[in-house]
Amino acid sequence: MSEINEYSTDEQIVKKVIKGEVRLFKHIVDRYENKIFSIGMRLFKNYDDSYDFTQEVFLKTFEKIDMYRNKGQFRFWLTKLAYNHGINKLGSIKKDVSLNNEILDEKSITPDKLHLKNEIKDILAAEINRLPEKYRICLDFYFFMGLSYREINEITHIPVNTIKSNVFRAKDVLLKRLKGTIAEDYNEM
Amino acid sequence: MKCNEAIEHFLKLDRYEKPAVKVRIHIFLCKDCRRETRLVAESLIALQTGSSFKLESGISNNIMEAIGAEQCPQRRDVSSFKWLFVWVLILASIIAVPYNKQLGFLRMHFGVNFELPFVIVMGLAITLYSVIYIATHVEEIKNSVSFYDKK
Repeated sequence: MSEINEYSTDEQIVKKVIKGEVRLFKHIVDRYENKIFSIGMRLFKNYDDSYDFTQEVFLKTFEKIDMYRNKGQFRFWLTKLAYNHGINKLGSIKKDVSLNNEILDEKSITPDKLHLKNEIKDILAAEINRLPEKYRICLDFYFFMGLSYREINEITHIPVNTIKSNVFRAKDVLLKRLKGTIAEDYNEM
Repeated sequence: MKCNEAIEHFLKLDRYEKPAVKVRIHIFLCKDCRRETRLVAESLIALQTGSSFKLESGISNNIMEAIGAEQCPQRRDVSSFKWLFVWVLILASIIAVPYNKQLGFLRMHFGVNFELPFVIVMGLAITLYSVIYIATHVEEIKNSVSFYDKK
């Protein structure tokens, strides 16, 4: 029987899925559905397209899972696959691919739509929304997907220095806003 | 080193990147910087469990149903090495057959005409085995070919 639990790494789960324990793929979906959906929201800016996009990404991931060869982190491989699929889908539905300086629909930036449950996430969400649209996804990739500057550059082709300066600004704001808050009090204990 | 320089250096670090020694020394000696860097580091860890947007309801059941409906082929659990090993074993057996005493006995009874059908059957066996391997490893072979093409 499989010894997979909530503490198992993605790579351990994927290895078992490749060996035939298909039902374990559910763990991967549970872990990443909101993250992939967020990529969809950044690209398509509406719930329905993002929902379809999320389903398509996971089905594609399952189809191609044999091609993940344990080189690097699974989440990087998944993010790259999702981003490329999103860009292709954007092109195919002939929406504006440039993403320059657009803002999200009012309803998609309202707090009740955001999955940012605590203080830290709220601060970061506000900072992300201040950025030009095309850079927001970089902060998503850095803070929520746990990718490095180089990995984000490899996926999005946005220059490393641009990614670095946006992440730096977000971290700086995060730190300034966290000082003297509950989070700091907690940290003191 | 001043506190603001140390913090700036710390904030510019990439994920998993370690601060320079002089920054580490400053953080170690300065209580305020130590607290601030810990605050940022812990926040970064906490953020990884989140996302910017949330689905109204989970989709994992839909995905698992779709995967089932697609009737995906049984995933392979035999390594390529094992396949190759068995292939070599079959080939070695074919090569060793003429030296087998039983075959000498059959040849004695049925004459030289026995050899041709025998070789054909053995050839078909190894061809069939190779075909099964290729059919179950198409993606892998395609990837390997494209990998060497790129080189």
